[in-house]
Amino acid sequence: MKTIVKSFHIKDLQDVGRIEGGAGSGRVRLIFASPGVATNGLFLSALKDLPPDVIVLGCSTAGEIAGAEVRDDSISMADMVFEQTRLKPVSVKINHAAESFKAGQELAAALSGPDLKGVLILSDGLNVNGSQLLEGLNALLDKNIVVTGGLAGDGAAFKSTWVLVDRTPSDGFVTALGFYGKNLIMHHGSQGGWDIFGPERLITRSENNVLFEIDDQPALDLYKKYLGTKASELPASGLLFPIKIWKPGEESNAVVRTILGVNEADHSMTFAGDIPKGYSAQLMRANFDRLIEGAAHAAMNLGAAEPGLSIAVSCVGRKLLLGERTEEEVQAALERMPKGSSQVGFYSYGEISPLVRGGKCHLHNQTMTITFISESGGRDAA
Amino acid sequence: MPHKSKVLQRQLLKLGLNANQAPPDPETWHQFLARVSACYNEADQDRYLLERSLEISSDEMRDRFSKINLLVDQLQLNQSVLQDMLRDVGFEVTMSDLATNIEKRVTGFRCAIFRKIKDGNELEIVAAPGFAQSARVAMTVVATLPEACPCGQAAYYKTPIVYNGDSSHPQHEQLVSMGFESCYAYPVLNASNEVVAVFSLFAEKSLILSQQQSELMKGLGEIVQMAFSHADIKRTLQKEQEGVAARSKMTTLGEMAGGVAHEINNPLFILQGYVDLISTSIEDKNLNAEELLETCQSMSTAIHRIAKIVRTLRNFSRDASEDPLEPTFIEILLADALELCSKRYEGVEIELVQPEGGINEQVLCRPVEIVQVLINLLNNSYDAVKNKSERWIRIEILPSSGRVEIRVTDSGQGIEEKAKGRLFHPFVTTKPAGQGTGLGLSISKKIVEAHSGRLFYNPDHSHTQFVVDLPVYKESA
Repeated sequence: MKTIVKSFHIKDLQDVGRIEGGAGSGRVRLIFASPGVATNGLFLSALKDLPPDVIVLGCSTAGEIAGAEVRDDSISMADMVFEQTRLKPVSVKINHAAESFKAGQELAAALSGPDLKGVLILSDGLNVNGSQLLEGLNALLDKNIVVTGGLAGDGAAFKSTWVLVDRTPSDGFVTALGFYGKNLIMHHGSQGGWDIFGPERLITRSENNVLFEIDDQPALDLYKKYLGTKASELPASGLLFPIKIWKPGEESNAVVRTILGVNEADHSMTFAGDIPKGYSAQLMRANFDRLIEGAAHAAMNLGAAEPGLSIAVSCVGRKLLLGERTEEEVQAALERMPKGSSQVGFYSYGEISPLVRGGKCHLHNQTMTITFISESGGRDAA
Repeated sequence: MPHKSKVLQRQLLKLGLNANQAPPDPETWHQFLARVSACYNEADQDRYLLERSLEISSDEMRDRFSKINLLVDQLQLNQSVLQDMLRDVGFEVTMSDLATNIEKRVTGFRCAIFRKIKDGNELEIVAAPGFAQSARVAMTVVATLPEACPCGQAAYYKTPIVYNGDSSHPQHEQLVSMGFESCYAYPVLNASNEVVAVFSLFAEKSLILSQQQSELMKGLGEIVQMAFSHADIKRTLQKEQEGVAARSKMTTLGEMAGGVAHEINNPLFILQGYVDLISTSIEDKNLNAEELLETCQSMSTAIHRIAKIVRTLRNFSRDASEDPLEPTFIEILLADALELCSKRYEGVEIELVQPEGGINEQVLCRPVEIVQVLINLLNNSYDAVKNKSERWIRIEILPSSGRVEIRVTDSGQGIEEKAKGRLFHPFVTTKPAGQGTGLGLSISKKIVEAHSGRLFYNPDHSHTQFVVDLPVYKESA
């Protein structure tokens, strides 16, 4: 497999349509772009200029990653040229978050095949219930198939995200790329670095991924209390306090949820995944060093021995907290990969990855999640 | 420049700046300053949030701790009260005692306890010791409906119900007419979440329970349920014991059936013989008045004999546990027992040695029950020796210092060592499998003890000997 990673400012959108050397059985171009380019004519025509046999997968972001750099208002792009692995892109329309489970099942049905090895998902970031989407997928896919990916972002605005469907930025879609063949090698790693603090709480009123009350008090009021002056920056500032939730008695299976939106009228908060009533909860916060350490651990947990392409999907909440130090985490991750590896990725509204090796995929929040792809029996070059 | 921070190095690198040279132009310099300023601001904000989180979460933890302490205090107080109640009320609690005890703990209230009628939608009053008769009558049966009084509502909704003079309550008028302004009703649920009882507090004034009292009342639910369970267990146990006693009696009757049938058949045979004799005399026209009278007397004797056996049998089989105690001669008791079982011994040539006559001692007893004990001992001896080469049973009556012993000894070689300790336990038998229910001795022991006596096995006798020791009845002067 060959990989070529590029990063360029949105002023240079014409480069999106250019192809550089290397033949192979399949070429995939990953494009992670600043949300604003969706209406840029140059970007759209550049996509159409690409040869028809190039599979294009991409989404809007809350920050673009290329190598050890993080940028806004840019495009990070990576080409993977496979020699033996077969590829199949699929997409499903979602009109409402309630359709998420069904959408996951449709994706799984479209991708299923005897030698399906891995799946990379890029999903709408605001109109999808990520955990339901993955429940639907897991219901039909074999758990040995590695499923990773992320939810598209919209900077810190939380207004509208898009994914590329037939090379067109579209909202309300979930796209996925299936990798088939025994030569594909797909590793994954995911780590947070956030710490719980304060008392254990109880989710007392919620509906799917909308949280109304914690300990019989409005959840939004609790967040505002902790945010203080930064409450005016909700929902973005809500990212600073993700929430860890677990079924009582099963804390080892806890997941972290991050905020997507708030509703002042009913004091509710929308999260990227389900917040079941009756679950225990605790607020979390992080410090810089723990987040960067977390990213390094995510890379160390990959278990990759040969160079390849790292697709880093990191949560927008980490970028918000790390600020000027954001690049330290992507650098820490790249440094721990096999020498000669490349890295591309984006800051997302949710990350997709198994919790443990060989396990079902889950929606994560506030993590650095890495998918490391390579192909056995072929050359890899950055 | 030594000790440059990583962040600073990166910022310089991003802007293409060299730490050892001045920025090439003002714009780049301003960009650099903006990034440094952003770093400072982010650090400040992080610190602000950190300190704020610490302060607010500390307050929350302190608040929780106070609530936990208060809860612990309440629990300890309630536990102490409940323990006192259990100690006062004891295992054999009556509902009335329980209601009275509850009233002591919650002053100003009267307590009523209801039981849920099984397979029905009603509660029936079980105890209301502090209530006037008219109120008790009005509460005899309460429907378990949403529009019922608070007790019925508590059973229907399976949750505590509070009434405090609210005029919109469906039963407000009735409660006021009964003189109540407050009512707290608590359902008692079993392990299957079914209502088994409701206990309630009524007050003539509008009274509010304190939180501690409310918590206590919830804890009392368990004691009320325990009281109901114990009452049920006691009732079941009593029924079982009555059933066991009845079965034992029937078994004994079965054992004696052969002998009893023989006892009745003999005089019947004699009667038949006399009837034939009379018939022949009539046919032969050879009626002799004197002979006929003699024959009739003999027939009458035979009929009385049958009647006596039937009477004894009927006496034995009826429930005598309610019979009054009456002074009875021991000789008569023994005679009644032998009436029913001695004929069995002739069939297998068991020598029966009876006591010599002239024993005038009486015992105060329920005769039927003592006869049952003696029959049980005699039947046991019969079973023990019927197949032995040496076959005898000896009965002795030995008065001594205000008591009398009835000793039943047989030619057996005594009870095996390992069986001795459990002889009087129910369902223990030394008889071969299929024979004996093992109930006789345990029930016999209970009967004798109920008569202030003792039934015991004498281990020091060379043969098998059981002794019934009873107090002698002395007529008061």
